[in-house]
Amino acid sequence: MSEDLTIFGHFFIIHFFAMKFRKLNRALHRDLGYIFFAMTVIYGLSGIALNHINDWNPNYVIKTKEIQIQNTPFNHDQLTREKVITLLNEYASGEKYKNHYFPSDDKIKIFIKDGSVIINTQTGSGMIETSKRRAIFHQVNYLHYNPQKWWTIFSDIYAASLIILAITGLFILKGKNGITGRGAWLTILGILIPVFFLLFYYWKLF
Amino acid sequence: MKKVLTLLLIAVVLFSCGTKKQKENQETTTNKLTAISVDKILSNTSDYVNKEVMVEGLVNHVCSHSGKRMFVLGENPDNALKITPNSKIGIFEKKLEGNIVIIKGVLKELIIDDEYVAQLEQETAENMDHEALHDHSDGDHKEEEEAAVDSSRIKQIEQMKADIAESEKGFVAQYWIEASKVEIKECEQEEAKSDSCCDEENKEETH
Repeated sequence: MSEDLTIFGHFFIIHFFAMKFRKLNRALHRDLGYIFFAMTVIYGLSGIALNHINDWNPNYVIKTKEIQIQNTPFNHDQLTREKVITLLNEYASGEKYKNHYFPSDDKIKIFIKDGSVIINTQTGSGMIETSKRRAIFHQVNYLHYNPQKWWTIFSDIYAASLIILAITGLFILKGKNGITGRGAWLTILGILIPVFFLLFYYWKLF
Repeated sequence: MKKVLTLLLIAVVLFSCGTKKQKENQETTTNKLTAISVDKILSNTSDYVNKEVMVEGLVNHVCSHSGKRMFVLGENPDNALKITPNSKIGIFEKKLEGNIVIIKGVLKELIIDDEYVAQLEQETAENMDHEALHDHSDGDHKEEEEAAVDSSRIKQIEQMKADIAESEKGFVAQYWIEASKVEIKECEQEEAKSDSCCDEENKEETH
């Protein structure tokens, strides 16, 4: 009889702490999830953008347009500031002059408000390049590149919280869909995918 | 909820320890400096390496992918100096292009010798990025994009090898300024002020 009571006592204590742990685990997972919802979206978006950095420019929409200047060639002395502004108004109307210089004997680069115009002063062929900030991606990439010390601190806290979120997420559910059932298989799958990539591409074992 | 917020607050306080002292150190080194040209710095690099300098030049190019690099030109447009932002500035905006700016920062030096190039080759083979490969000072976007392509990197490394071989010292050096402050000095504008590129947004000071 007393042995049964001891076993019951142990079971009760374990059950009590398991309940406490699950409650704390759920609360931590829930609250960190709420707090870092925006951060996860920010890093998710910028992560996709930076994964494809060689295919597109996530920060700016860059447009180019070819132009042909008449009455060339020009020599550098002819291209005074006034003459450059006149050329700009004629061939790139609407673009606002900022500055200009001569990168080489046969080229002039004119800076405009949102870009530049490069003209071959001998042949007259030119290219207008303008860039506009890409909405949302410019902002999320700015944050992804750790622009300020305080942001680095906050994103470090976020990164640490992601680990906590991952661990606490394992123990949210009990039963057949929990970590002792379906959850275990899915977790193993999630571990194996990066491991396979390491085996194939990093350690080159296959 | 309260527990989580308290934990976060403690983490922020712990991380922030020591930042005040660092700020004080930075401020004491900010002496009165006069702006010098890019040409002068590049012709006397040994006088300025690892020292705080103030340099003036035309912003020719800001890397649009990251904003982590820009190039300023001297009177001679062949003289281009790379500028990187310190952690306080973060990134450079493309709207700086075409402006005359005054940059305050520290001139950094990178010695490129045979050993360095061998390491660079190994890292490039492993697809790692490297500061020495970001030297598209002429502001050509195609070149910037090609920098990410292996063949272009190999070409750059071959050029470095050739430069080292030609050098009497057995190495070549790259110089750049790690900027702590960037201020727009001048912005040319058309007659009509209201129609100018030199609006308030563009006159922003970064520091």
